[in-house]
Amino acid sequence: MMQEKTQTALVVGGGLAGMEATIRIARAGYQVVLVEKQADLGGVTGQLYSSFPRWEDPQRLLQNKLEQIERCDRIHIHTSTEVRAVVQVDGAFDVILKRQPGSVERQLRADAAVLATGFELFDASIYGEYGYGIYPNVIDSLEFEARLRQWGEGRTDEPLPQSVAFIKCVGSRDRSKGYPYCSKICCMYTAKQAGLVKDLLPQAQAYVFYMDYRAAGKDYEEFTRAVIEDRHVRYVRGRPSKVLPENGRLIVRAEDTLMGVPIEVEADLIVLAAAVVPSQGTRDMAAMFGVPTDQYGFMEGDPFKPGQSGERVFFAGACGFAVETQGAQYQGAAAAAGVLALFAQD
Amino acid sequence: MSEKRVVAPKEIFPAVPESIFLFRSCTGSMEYPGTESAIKEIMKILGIEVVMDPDQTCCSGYLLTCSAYKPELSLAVTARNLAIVEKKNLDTYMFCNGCYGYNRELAHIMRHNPAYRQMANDLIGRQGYRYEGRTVIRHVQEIWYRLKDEIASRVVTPLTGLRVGVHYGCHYLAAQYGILDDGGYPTFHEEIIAAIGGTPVFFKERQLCCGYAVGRGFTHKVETVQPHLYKKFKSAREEGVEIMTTVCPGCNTALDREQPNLAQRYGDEFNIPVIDLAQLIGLALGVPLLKLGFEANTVPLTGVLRKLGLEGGE
Repeated sequence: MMQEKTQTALVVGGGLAGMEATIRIARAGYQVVLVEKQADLGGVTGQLYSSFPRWEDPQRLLQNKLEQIERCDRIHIHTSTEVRAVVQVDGAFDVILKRQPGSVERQLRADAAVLATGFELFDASIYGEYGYGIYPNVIDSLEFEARLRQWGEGRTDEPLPQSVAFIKCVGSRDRSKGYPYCSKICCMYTAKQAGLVKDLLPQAQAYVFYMDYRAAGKDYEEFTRAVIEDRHVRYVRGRPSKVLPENGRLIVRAEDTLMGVPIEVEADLIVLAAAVVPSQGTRDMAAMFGVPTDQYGFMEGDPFKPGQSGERVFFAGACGFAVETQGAQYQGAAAAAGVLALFAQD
Repeated sequence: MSEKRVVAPKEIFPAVPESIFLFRSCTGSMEYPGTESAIKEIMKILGIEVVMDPDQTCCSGYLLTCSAYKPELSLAVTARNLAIVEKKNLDTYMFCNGCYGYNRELAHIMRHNPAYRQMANDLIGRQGYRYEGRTVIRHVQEIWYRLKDEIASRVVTPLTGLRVGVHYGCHYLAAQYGILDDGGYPTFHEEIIAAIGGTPVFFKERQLCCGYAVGRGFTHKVETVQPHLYKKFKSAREEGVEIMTTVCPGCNTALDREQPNLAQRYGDEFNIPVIDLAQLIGLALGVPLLKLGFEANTVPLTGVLRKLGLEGGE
């Protein structure tokens, strides 16, 4: 005889990982409360124009998830809402949510929590030499996704760039000003973005300044090679030393370390692949739910139960470390499996 | 890094020091004695006592960069000089980016590697010196920035309309921690220029290196340094720079002394005088011209002095 399923899971963060976890837990028959700080679900995926390594539309992927969520009446969505306090009582969590605007508070009880609070990009203005925050045409990768969307949808009033330069490892692999770690996803999304420049603006030049490119993943190497060889994006090995304004354009000064010569490239737009760092929400929720973090603030799991921290807290997506859209879904599913195993034993 | 790279001036100096040890620069003394003299005059106006010691030697940085001798010997030179300062219980103020960079770097090595400090102390101990790693190494420009408003309030010759291009120098901005501004896009010199009434000019190549290492040292690589400096000066002239400031006698030497060579090579004269930031502050604060020592400059300041109404005054 089937037991009545009375438990409720709390999912914090409505990006791809959080949505995936929500769908799977609800589909198994449990109640899910999905809390999202922003006004809409979708997280970073909602900002993306295209995906690697298949040039798919991330908005179709999100649409698919949203439809599954809408079809299920066991999912209770709270957007524009933050978790303000958590108390663990007899294993369960007493949670206080606060909704903006109006600061409406609501209290609920959850039997398990999945944290999927994501990442943000490192503040590249620390690199004065690249001029982020000084020159308006120096932007970071997420800001560039919005440009791609504008170009793709043909709605832009600004003149289109003749040349776009991408600078990788801004804040990553830099002990001096940034972080020692590799942010893992930048090589691939930069290849994607540079390839899209050639697709959307065929007359434009696209340059990628790199230390080395890391394409470890299914179809990743083929994807990057195709961007270089078929779309003719110019990959330059060398870390730029300076971005300078000249005659209304920008100049990237760098060394081409394969040729051993100093070079200057003119650009109308410069895109910085800034390091992936834990979001404020990730830091807040780790503290609130007592999840250990590494030295940078990313959540850390139990060594034998990845994605789980303690008995009833799980996490998924980029709050653990930089992850691609596919990996975020896998991790969301894994967190859901953890919750379901727990609920089945309750 | 455990130590912050960029530090606010008030964090560096919660209180302005009453006295400082001013570290003499060889290049400064040989090429532009007016720099040291200008610094002493400004410190007098600001009420900061300047202590120096004839026992202090060259920082030895230049020869170390050229791998002219072993770093072990250079460590001892640094330890000995800093030991002299520590005996006076003062912090060490450089007015040369080279002295600043090398002393900081070697002091860092000795502070974090007791074996190296011991090695240096074994050597200098024979002459009765001992370095403990207490004295903090600073650059006088940090005082100018910290006391920018006070300096501004004491200006007697405002630099109205004078278009000043600043040159920061790599060996300050490339320091790994504890500097005043973002090494990639610094603005604190420009703020000082504006405070004393001048017009700071953000010319495109303002951060291009002075070329001293390949220009004026024992490796004079004409083919490298001259096109490099030509680019810098062309960019400065395009933006109407009338005078350039430095905070390093090495930079000053490279930028000032090389100009006749550029004129010869390119048939194109720039005539942009290059002086230390302290000399320019001295001008604004009414320090007598004789004490600013502009006679040492290759490119004369005649035009600038005339513009400021200080024509012919000695």
